[in-house]
Amino acid sequence: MPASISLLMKACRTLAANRLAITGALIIVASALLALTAPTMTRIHLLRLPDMQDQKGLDDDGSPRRGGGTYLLGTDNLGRDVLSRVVYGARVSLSIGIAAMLTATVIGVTIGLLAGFYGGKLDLLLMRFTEMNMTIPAILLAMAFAGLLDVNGRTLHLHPAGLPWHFLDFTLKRGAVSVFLIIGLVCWPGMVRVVRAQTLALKEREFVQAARALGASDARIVFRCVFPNLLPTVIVLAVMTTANTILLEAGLGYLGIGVPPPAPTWGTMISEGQAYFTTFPHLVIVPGMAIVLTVLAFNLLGQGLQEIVDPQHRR
Amino acid sequence: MRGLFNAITVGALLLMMVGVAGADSAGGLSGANVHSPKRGGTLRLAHTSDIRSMDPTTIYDWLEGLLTMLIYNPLLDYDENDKIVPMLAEALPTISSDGSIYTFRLRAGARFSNGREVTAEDVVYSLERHLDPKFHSSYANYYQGISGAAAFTEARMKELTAAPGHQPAKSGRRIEPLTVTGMHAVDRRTIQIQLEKPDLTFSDVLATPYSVIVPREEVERWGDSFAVHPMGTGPFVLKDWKRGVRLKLVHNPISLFSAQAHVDAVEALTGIPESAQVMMFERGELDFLSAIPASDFLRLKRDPNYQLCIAEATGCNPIYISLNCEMPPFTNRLVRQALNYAVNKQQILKGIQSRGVVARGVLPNTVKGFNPLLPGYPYDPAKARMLLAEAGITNGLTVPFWILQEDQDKYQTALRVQQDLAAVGVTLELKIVSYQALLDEGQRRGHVAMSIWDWLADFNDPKDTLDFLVNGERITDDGCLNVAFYSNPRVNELFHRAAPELDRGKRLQLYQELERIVADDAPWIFLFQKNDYALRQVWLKGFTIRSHWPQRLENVWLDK
Amino acid sequence: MLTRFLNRFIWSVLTLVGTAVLTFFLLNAVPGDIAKVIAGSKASPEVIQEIHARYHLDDPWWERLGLYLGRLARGDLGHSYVTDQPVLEAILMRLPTTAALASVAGVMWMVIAVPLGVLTARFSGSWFDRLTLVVATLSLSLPAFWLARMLQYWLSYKLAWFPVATFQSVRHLLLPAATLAILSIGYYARLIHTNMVEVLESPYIRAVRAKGASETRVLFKHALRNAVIPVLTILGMDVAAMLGGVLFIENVFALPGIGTLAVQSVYNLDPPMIMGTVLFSGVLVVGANWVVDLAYGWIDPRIKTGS
Repeated sequence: MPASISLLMKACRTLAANRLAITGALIIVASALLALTAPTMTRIHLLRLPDMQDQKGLDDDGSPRRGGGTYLLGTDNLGRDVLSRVVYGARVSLSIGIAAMLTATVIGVTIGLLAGFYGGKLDLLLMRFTEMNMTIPAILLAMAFAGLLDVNGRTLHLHPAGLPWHFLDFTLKRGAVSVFLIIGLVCWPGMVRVVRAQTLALKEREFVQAARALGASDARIVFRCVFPNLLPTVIVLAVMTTANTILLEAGLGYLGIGVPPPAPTWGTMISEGQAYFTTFPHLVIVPGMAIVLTVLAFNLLGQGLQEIVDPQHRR
Repeated sequence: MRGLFNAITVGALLLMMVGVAGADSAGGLSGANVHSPKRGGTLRLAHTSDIRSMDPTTIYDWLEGLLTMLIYNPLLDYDENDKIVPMLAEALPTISSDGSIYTFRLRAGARFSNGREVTAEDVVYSLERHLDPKFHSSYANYYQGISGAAAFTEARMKELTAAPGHQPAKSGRRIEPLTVTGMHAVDRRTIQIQLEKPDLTFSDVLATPYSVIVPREEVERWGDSFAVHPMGTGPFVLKDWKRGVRLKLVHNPISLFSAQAHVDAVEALTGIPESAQVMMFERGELDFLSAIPASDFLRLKRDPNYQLCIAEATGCNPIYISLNCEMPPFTNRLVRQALNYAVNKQQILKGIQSRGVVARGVLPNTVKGFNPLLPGYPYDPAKARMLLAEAGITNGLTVPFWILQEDQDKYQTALRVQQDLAAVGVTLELKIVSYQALLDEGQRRGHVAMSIWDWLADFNDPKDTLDFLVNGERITDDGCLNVAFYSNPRVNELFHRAAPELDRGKRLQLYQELERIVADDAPWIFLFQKNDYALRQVWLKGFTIRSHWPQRLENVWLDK
Repeated sequence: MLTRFLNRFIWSVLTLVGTAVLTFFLLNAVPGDIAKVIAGSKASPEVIQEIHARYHLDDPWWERLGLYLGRLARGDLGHSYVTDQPVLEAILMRLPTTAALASVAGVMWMVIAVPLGVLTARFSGSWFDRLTLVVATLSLSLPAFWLARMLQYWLSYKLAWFPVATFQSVRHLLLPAATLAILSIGYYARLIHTNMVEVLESPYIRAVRAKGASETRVLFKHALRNAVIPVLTILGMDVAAMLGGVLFIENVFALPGIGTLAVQSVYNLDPPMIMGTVLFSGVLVVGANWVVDLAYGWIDPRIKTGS
């Protein structure tokens, strides 16, 4: 469809004009590349293994090394190269951030779409449900979920105790999967309102009315007409949400209830290194900067995209 | 005008003279200045978590012990050279020739902070409490050697199960025996205690913070919450306690020991992470640090400001990892031994700036009976793998490992142990909990498979450490200090033989024999004997560190 | 006005009930005895049995849900597993600290965000505007705990401008509040900016300008008032996000507020306390929304008359 391609090109041109957004995009691409190529780089000895302790990385007193020399950004409390850990940390943080974003998007878009499209009682119910989920601060809810998860894995009985619906028993162990699920479950309410508003607006458009008049089924209307036009908004939301999910993942890691050690996540690096802050500040500064840079990149890109999608609504 | 000028000059000269004199008596940086303790000021301490209790039956950590010794007194005490001296007792006890009867006389004029005089009945009651299951004492062992203790405990147990539920501590006893027959008040100020069998450590027991004297009416008045409403004979009373935030004690003028307590108040801020504590200390917001985390140790040690301010007690703090012998996979001795070979203890010690020695057994090297000839477990991952294979473990192991993040040294140790064990196929899943949670769950049967602990000896005798930590007969379902839940009948039997032994040489031999068996059984990963450190501000004087209950701050003063 | 008041109140209560129901299911998913939640973990087996009977704990889940909601309505959030203290009591004890922190932070960001928003709108498109945009986005990208640690290290430890930790005087709140403020400033400055820009282009302002009012008067007396209204709405909704930041800041600065209580309860393995703090924060958010909604109705007469 040539119309969409030309729209896309126009979008790219507008985006290119926004230097901040471009910077954001570049940073994201660079991080993704680093994350993806990390194992290869380790094999050719550009990076070191991030998990295992390394006695050579510690000095004679048993203390971490500072930056410079073979360890470009210094080493941490177990002698591991900070630079390598930060790069591997990008793998964890980006993958969890994106997985969580996808989870949140799927749920949020579904609910927003249903609410906007069908309206009436369903809309009311869904919006109230969303509001209920929004009343609890994201990190607090994530903490409650993660904190209640045992190391052995907790079996959640999602069915009433009386009924033997054991297929609704989930054993969640602490690890990357439970982390991104929890973050996703906590972030979806933020997307619903915008999706719903867009859906409401689109519902009134001529092509939707036309499709309805032609007798198209609801599902067809949603998937063929509404959804594709929602896509730009959804993409903007997704990018902005990723910034959020990465921050949340770092927060959980910092509290010690995210992906457990020895996994190199930026949040756990800060929590493991903060005891050394007064003597070796690089252990906290470096992973922190990594977080800030990545999240900033997503935010800038998101803002840039928003200017394209909705030029008047410069919020 | 000239008159004023003269007056000012004279005044200034006078001030200078006073200033010089004052500087002289301050004695520079020396901490052991006994010349002129200054009165007044608030001593500020910090702790990483809230304390749970100030009831001698359930105190555990350093701050709880410290506060208990500020508010209460036992009959006996240790001086700075580890010698037993009388405290609430007038003099050291008279001991019968066969070593089983102890007679004490209370000092005249000893009063609780509510004004009431201390009597022999109070002493009997305080010691008796440990034997009454209603009070859930973790230290009942210490007093079970008293004649009639077992019968007393049994009778109270029967009463408890007959009338369940939360009941205030009433003295309504019905089932005989109503008292511990071996302990009685001869007269108002004299107590006689008869032991079932002679025990060389009984005086030491009476010098521990668990043996402090408490007033019966207060225990009964507060019931379950007596732990947070302490009242004792000591030079300080509890003024204020905001749970989890701050605790304040103020000077008590009517105590027998008020004269040697120089500060006006003691303030303990709780819930502050170690790194924040160090920063606060360096900024002068705290007067005393009870521990120096590895991350800051070298820096502080090399800091000229604190040259004379770091106190060190060597090797008195064993750090070990308990392997719950009642929970698989640690029911198998081979697995436990394998883990001991798999951990590179020397490297871990280096990671905390070598502040200690590698442990080969249970006892800290400051305790009598320490055996330097124990073989220990040198670092040998190949042997570890072999032992694991022998135990039938072919696909590796996964074990949940409970650790503390608030204690930096233990946390760093745990991270390294995780790495070492991963190298032999044992995956440790770290579970970060608070100190309170660890104590609650770890001392409960069947809950925690593996965790990291430390121990501070109560007194200088092998019985103390060994009896609590590795005596199988001391295992209880709850509040059990034998956190490895280890029980070896041969070891238990040796305990029975060693306790009443009056020949000191033979006694030590028996304890050493049982320690050898324990070391071989490996209910722990024996890590190291850590040194204990305390850091005081330059202006905090009169502090000396001790090798058990190292932080005693009753008689310090602030020279600001 | 009254109907609106009641309307919002009923919806708030319903929202809270919904949150409580969610919490109930979460609590049920946690293995462990509900009786221990009520009685405290140190209770003897006999007491536990008695409570099972008294609270019908062997009854079907919908009856238990009813009982649970009933207890909540009476303010009984259970007892801490660790200290046996009533959960609500522990939370209320800590509320003043968190409230103080939030208030000081609120004052700080208002003092900075409002002028920033106004000025960037006035000089829209300039380098000042663009710079503020970047700085604002930056402030949104900072992890709360990292910012807190950095500020604590540089300003309290190195420069000794502020106390390092704990809450012993208002001075102790300044740096934590500043941290919280920095995290929010970016967002609010941009928000005010956007609204101001919109308002400044409206016919109303053009009329005021035509009447010859000075620029300052236009900006502050007329435009600002209209721009601030949507901010209030966001403020209400944003209490939720702010509580998130508060959590980490209280943790780093060892302030005895609800945030540290929540974090500690996770390490303490204390489900009643965890759930209690979650519910209570829900109450705070709903309450804030309700208050904002009322204020909104009061400030903007158009809404009052329902037009």
